[in-house]
Amino acid sequence: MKISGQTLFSSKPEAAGILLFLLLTVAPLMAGIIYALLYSFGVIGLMSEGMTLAYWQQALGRQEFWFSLGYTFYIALATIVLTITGALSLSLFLKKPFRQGFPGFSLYVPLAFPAIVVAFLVFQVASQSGLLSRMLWQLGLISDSAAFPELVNDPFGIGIIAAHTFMAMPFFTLYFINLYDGERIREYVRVAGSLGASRMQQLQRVEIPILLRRAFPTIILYTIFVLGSYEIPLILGRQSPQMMSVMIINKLRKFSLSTIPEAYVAALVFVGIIIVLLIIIFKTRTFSYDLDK
Amino acid sequence: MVKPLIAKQISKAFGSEQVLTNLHLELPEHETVSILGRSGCGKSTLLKILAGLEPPDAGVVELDGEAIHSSESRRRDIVYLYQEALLFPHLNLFENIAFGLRLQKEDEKAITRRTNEMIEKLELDGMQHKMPHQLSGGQQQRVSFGRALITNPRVLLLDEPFGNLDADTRSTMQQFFKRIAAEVAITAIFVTHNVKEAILMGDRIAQLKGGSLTMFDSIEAFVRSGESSVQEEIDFWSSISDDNNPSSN
Amino acid sequence: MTSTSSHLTYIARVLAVSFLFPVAFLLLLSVSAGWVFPEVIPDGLTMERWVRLATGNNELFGSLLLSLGIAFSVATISTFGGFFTSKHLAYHPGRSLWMRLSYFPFVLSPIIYAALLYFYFISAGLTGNLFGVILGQLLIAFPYSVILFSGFWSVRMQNMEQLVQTLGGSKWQAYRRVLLPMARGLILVCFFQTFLISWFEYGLTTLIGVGKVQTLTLKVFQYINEANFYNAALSSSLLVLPPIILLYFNKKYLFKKRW
Repeated sequence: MKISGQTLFSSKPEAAGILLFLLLTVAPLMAGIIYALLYSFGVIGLMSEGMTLAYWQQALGRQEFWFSLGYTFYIALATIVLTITGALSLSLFLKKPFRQGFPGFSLYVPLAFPAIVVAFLVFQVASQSGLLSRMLWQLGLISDSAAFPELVNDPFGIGIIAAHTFMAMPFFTLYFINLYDGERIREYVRVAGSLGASRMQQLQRVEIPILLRRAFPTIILYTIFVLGSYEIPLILGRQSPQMMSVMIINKLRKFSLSTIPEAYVAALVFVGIIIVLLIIIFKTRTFSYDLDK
Repeated sequence: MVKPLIAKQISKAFGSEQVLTNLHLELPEHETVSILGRSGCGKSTLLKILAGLEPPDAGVVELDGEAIHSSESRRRDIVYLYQEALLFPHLNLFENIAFGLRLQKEDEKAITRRTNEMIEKLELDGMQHKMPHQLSGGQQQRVSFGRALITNPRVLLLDEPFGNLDADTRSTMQQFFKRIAAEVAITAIFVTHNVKEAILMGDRIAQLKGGSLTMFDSIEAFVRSGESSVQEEIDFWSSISDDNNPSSN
Repeated sequence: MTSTSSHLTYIARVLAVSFLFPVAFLLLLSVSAGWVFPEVIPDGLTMERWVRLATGNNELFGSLLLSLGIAFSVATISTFGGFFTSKHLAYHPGRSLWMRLSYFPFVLSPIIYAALLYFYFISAGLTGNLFGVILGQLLIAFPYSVILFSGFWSVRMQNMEQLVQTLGGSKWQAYRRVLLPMARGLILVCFFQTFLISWFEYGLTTLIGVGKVQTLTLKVFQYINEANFYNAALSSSLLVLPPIILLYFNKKYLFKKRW
C-alpha cells in the first residue's frame, strides 16, 4: 500500500519542511561544487584569466596527485580488510562473551574517541619514543629510541591504518552482532546443518556471506569516511605521500596562488569518487534508508 | 428522516487510474451496511473520503444533511478503523481505550467510569494494565473497537477489521461485533472481500465494482442478482449433498 | 565445551582490556608529573592540571564550555529540525530522491565541505565566529538527523496520525500524545549522535573558525603541536569521558530497534 498520494506542496508545513531541507542540505552542496568548478576552470579566482583547462591538466599531470589518490585508496582498503576480518572473527567466534558485561561494554568505548585523540594515542604508543619502544628498551631488546622501527610518520601508513582500525573494528563488531540477531542467521545455520553442512561450511557458505551482503552498504559508507579522513593522517602521516584531504588543505593554504585551483581540482575528483561510490550503494538491493546504527 | 451519511457523485482518481466514478451512497441510521468488493477496488479509498482523510476529486459528503466534504476529519464524528488494530504501543489497554475521552478533556472520574464500562462490555476486564504487545490479535481488535465506540461516533467505518485474524478468532469477533452493534445501535459501514462475512455482518449489502456502488435491498436480492458467486456455491454444495447423502439433512 | 567457552571468555576479556586501555593511558598521562623515554611508568603523579581546570584557571575550561555550548546547540537544532523535516520528506512522492541527496553531505569529509564553502562563509562574514561554526556543523549534522528519522515515518505512523485525527484529536495532540512518545528513543539517539558529531569535530571547525573558535579538539591539536603531551592528554580525557559516561547509561538505545 503506497503512502497516500499528495500533490507537490499540499500544505504549508510540508513546504516549509522541504524548503528547510533544501536550504541546509542541497543548496550549500550545489553552491560549493559550483564554486569549485568555476575556480578550477579559471572562471573565477584571484588569478583568473577566463575559462581554461590548464589547471586541470596541471593538477592531473602531477605525480603527486596520483600518488596521493593511490595512497588514500590503499589506506582505506587496508583498514577495511583488517577491520572486517577482525570484526567477523570477534562477532562469529566471541559473540557470547562480547554480548554482555565487561567485554560487551568495552566494545562501545572506542566509539567515544574522536579521530584526533586516536591519532594522539597511536602516536604516544607507537612512535619511536612511545610506550612500545620504551617497553622494548626495558626488556633490553633495543638500546636507543632510533632503533625502534618507524611505525608512525612512515611510508606505509602503519600508524594511520592502526588508528583507523582501532576506531572501526569495535563498531563493525557491534554491527555484525546486531545483524546476526536481526537477520536470524542462527536459523539459517540450523537449516544448513540439517542439510549436512559442517561447521566450517556453515561459516563459509551461510554466516559470512549473509553478513557481508547485508553489511555491504555500510562497509562502503565507512570506506568513504576513511577516504576523507583528515585528522589522523595530519598527525600520523608524512609529507609524501599524503592522504587526499591533507593534500587538498595544504594546497589551499600554500602561499603560492597557483596551487589553489589545483586544490579545487583534487576536491572535485574526490567529490566525484564519492558520487560513484554512493551510486553503487544505492543500486544495492539490500540498501534501505534506515541507518541501522 | 435524514439519513446520517449520504455521499453524492464521488469521483477519485490516482494518477491515470479512475478508482471511484460518480459514486452514490446512502447509509441508513442504526444499520450496518456491508460493502463487498475485491481487493484494490477502491473500498479503502471510499472509506477514507467519507472519513475526511482524503479529498475526493468531485462530489459531496453529507452528515445529517449538512455538507461536510471540506471539513477536517476531526470534526466529523466519523471514526475510521484500519485493518490493523493500530493500538498505541506506548499506552496500556486502559489508556488506549480512554484515548478519545482524554482528547476531549473529560473529567477524570467520568473517564475512569466510562472506560471501565467499555472494558467490561469488551470482556477484557482485569487486563487494564496490559500493553498492546501482550494482547492477542482478537483482543487487540476488541480494544480498537472500544477505543472508537467510546467516543460515540455518528458513523463507524471498518476496513476489513478481521482480515488478519485466524478463522476461529475471526468468527468469534464477528459474533462479538454483531452483539455490540445491536447493543449500541451503531451506524456502520463494514468493508470486506469475503462474501460470507459480508452477509453475516451487514443488515444490508452493497457491492463496489468498476468504481461505482450498487446497494441491494435485501440479502436475497443480492444472491439473486447473479453478481455474487453465492448462488453457484449454494448449487455446488446442494449437488454434493444430494449425490452423497440423499437421506441426510 | 566449558573449557572452550571459558577460553573464549578469557580472550574476550583480554581484548576488552585492550579497548579500555587507551582511556586509562590518557588519564595516567594527564596526571603525570613527568613521563619521558625510556620510562614505562610516570615519574610521579600530580593532580595540578585537573585542579587548575576545575578552578577555572585554565584556558581549557573555556574551551570545555565552548564545546559543550556548540554541541548542545547543534544537537538540539538538528534533532528537532530533522524530526519534522524528515516527516515531510518521507511522505513526499519524491522521497527516495531526497534521501539520496541527504547522504551526500553526510558522508562528505567535513573539512573538504568546508573548503568548498569557504568563500561563501567569508562573504557572509561567518568566518572566525561562533555562529559560523555552528552553521557549518549543522550542515553535516542535519542531514544525518534526516536520514536517521526517515525510518520512523512509515505508512503505519501516518495511519496512527490519521487515527488520532478521526478520534477527534488536533495535530498538536497527535504529536504530544502519540508521535513524540513513540519517537522518544530515536530522538534520544539522534540527540546523542549529533552531539558527538559536533563534540568531535575538528577539520571544519578549524577552517571556518579560522582557529579562533577554540573548541576542545582544537586544543588537543594545539598541545600536540607544542609537544605538550600532558595537556593534550588532559584535553583528550575531557573529550572522551562524557561520551563514555553517556554510553554507559544509554547503550541499550544505541543499537536496538525502536518501536
